[in-house]
Amino acid sequence: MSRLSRIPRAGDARPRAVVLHACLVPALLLAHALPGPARAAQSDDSCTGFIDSIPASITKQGTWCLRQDLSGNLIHGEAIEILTNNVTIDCNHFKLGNLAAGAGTAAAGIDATDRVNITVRNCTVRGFHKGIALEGAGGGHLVEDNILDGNTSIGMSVLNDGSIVRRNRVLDTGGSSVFASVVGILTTGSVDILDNTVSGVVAPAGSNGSARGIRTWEAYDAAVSGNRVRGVQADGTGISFAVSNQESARVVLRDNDLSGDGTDVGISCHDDSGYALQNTINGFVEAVVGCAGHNNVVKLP
Amino acid sequence: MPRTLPFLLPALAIGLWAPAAPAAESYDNCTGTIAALPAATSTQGTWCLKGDLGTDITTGAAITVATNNVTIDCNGFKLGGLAAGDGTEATGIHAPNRRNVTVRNCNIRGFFRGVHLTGEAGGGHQVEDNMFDGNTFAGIDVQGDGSVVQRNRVRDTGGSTQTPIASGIRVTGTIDVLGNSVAGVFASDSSDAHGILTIANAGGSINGNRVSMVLANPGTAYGIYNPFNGRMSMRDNDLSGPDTGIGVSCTSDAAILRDNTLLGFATGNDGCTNGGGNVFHAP
Repeated sequence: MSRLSRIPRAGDARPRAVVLHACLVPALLLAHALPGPARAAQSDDSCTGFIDSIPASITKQGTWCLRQDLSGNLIHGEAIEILTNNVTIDCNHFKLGNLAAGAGTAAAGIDATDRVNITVRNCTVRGFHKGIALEGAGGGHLVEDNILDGNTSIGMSVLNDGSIVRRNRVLDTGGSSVFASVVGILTTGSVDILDNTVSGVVAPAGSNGSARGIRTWEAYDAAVSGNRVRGVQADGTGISFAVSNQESARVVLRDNDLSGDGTDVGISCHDDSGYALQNTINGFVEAVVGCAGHNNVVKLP
Repeated sequence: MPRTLPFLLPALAIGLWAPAAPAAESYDNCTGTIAALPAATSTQGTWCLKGDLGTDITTGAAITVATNNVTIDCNGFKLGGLAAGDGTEATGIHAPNRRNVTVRNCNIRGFFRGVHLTGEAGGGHQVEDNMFDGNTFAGIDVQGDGSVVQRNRVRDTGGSTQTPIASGIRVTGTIDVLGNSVAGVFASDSSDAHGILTIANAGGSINGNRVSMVLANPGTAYGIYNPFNGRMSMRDNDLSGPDTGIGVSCTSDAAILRDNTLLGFATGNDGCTNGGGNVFHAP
């Protein structure tokens, strides 16, 4: 049924169809009479192939898609292992689940080691030790529009220059019975981290583990901007950071909303070549440590 | 122009008929289709509309999500409940105590609540890129930490004969509300109207929203109202008031308000910490 037939209400804008030139009507009728292009959820047109079961290995370049939820019970290894460069994993919003493995898992959801130009998008990854792990040599990765939920130690780990992590939601990271420290988003090298939400990063009880919402390592000239980080809790002697930059230089941290409730540190930099500006840092014992800063709004606990 | 139009028509028609270039959307990944109302989904995956759907139910829900990890993708089609009238208590899309429910690309009209994702046991929801029009109590009502409400348009909310209160967007828990447009929220009988209402939001972000035409007379019109709030952040919102009411209200000053535009409210900031960069313009 065409949307032109929707019920009008008082105050509705004039239906667009009414103002169309009468000469266009036959064309529109013809268009509606013939089979039109399907439009909805997400297309498989660009899929090189499909991942229909796990564990799976990708050895051919291209776009590999999910077309259903996939769940496993992996204690070790990877649900999806990428063994070549220039691969996109598009989950089409389907779930890659491993909650059944429990708190002792050491498995990764999507893993690539020593690869370049890997993209992971539209995935809901749950219950792994690391939800996404693009590690080793390589770089140029893109991780976008994913949900990382209930991973036990690290939501995602992305290594090396030219990579981007954006528009992901990293929820409820922690709970491992094997690893003490927890990180929502971990990057190494010059990786931009943009417009992500990290909510809930909690070190296991009794572990003395540290907790970091976003942790950059050896980041030079990177941007950490527009992120929202909250609910970061260390355990015992561990230390908690909303954003932690270690061995890094010239990192720009801008427009991040950081919410703590007695969390130890809002933003830390390796040295004052890191620049924190226009951030909202609310409820941290130390708001900014080591960075140069400008126009941050700070509210102490 | 008129001389050339007849020659253009066949080409135009063919152009409309020919399959579009591969793009973001198709039905390829629909787990199933919702073809009639009321409907319930009990299988995880993406459930799609392929046409407008309407109902005159006055209680219950047009679509009930009965499991976790479900996406409702309306593909721009309408989910209509206007026929039930202003006394409706029905919900457009309801998910009780579920996790990771997504609602996108819907045009939801005429329900008591357009979308209601509720229950403390749930969360991680995503409500994005929808249109809510003429819902009588709340366009969007989402509960559960880790949820996000983004890029929706919510217009003409109010008019219920069941309750005089109206809220364009209503969220409970630590939830982000980002980049939405709320236009027209109407309360009656001395009650309050809220463009955006967040309840017990411990640390979420309310950023980049546009709120206008919130009316409550003689009740209070709020652009953004945050009862029982924690360390939340509000920035880059454009709020336009009715020459009365309150732009942004917090019950705790743990919330920070920065870089917002608040025009036409009798009170710009009521109880939030002013982080600077806000523009207030009283009537």
